[in-house]
Amino acid sequence: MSQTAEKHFFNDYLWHAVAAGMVTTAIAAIFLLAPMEETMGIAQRIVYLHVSVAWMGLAAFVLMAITSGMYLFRRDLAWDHWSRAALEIGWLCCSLTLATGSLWAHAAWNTWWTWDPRLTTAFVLWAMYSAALVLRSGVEDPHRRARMGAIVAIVGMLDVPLVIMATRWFRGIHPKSPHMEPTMRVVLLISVVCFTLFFTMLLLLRRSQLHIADMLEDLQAQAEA
Amino acid sequence: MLTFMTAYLVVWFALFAYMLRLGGEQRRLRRAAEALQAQFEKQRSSRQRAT
Repeated sequence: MSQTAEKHFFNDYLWHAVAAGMVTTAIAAIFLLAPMEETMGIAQRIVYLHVSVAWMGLAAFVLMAITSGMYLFRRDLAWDHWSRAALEIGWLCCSLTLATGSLWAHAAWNTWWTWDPRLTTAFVLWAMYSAALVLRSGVEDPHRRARMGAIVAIVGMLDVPLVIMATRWFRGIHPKSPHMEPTMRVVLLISVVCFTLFFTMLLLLRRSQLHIADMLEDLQAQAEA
Repeated sequence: MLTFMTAYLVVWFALFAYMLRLGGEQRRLRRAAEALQAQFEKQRSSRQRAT
């Protein structure tokens, strides 16, 4: 194995090992540390997954909007790489938020979905993410693609404060901040921190992939010229 | 139990699928970089032969 290939090999495996460690820590805390809730039983543990991915879904949208704004200001595609990476991770997290939330709702409210303000605003956020993905996939020119993605990100940003404040500003059935005993709070914190680190690593990896792909395209064009 | 396991598996499979996608992209980029390097080396050696 050459020295470069060896370095790549260990870099890749280090990424995977750290990522797997983060998720394993979170899952272990959820299974082993978290006490059983009396009313909902084991289904209550969905909250630890749900809150972690929901937080990342919101944070990724904020990052996408900021980096999109920077792209529009500087016209530098390096900012768009951040925006695109945040879009992919954010869409994944937002989809998982809706899926885990729906499963929790079925256990808690006996319905898969209701048009509660928090659920509705979260659904709008998911629709914004999806719109950005679909719009980007249909455009070839990288600058035009970045502009369209940036417009959706900045317009969609208006929905983020609504998602956060929906339980306070409007009347609904979604819990404001669930009452938890100290051990549950610790498990929630571990889960949020581990998933945040895990998704941050995925985000950095994806951004570097997009950056390298662009560099390779430029070099390919130079080689063919 | 079934509800919690479903939620857990949904999250697990989604993350696994996305990581597989990133792994595939990583391999594609490495192959493209190696092909480009080979192309540049070929061009350089042909230029050296011409001079």
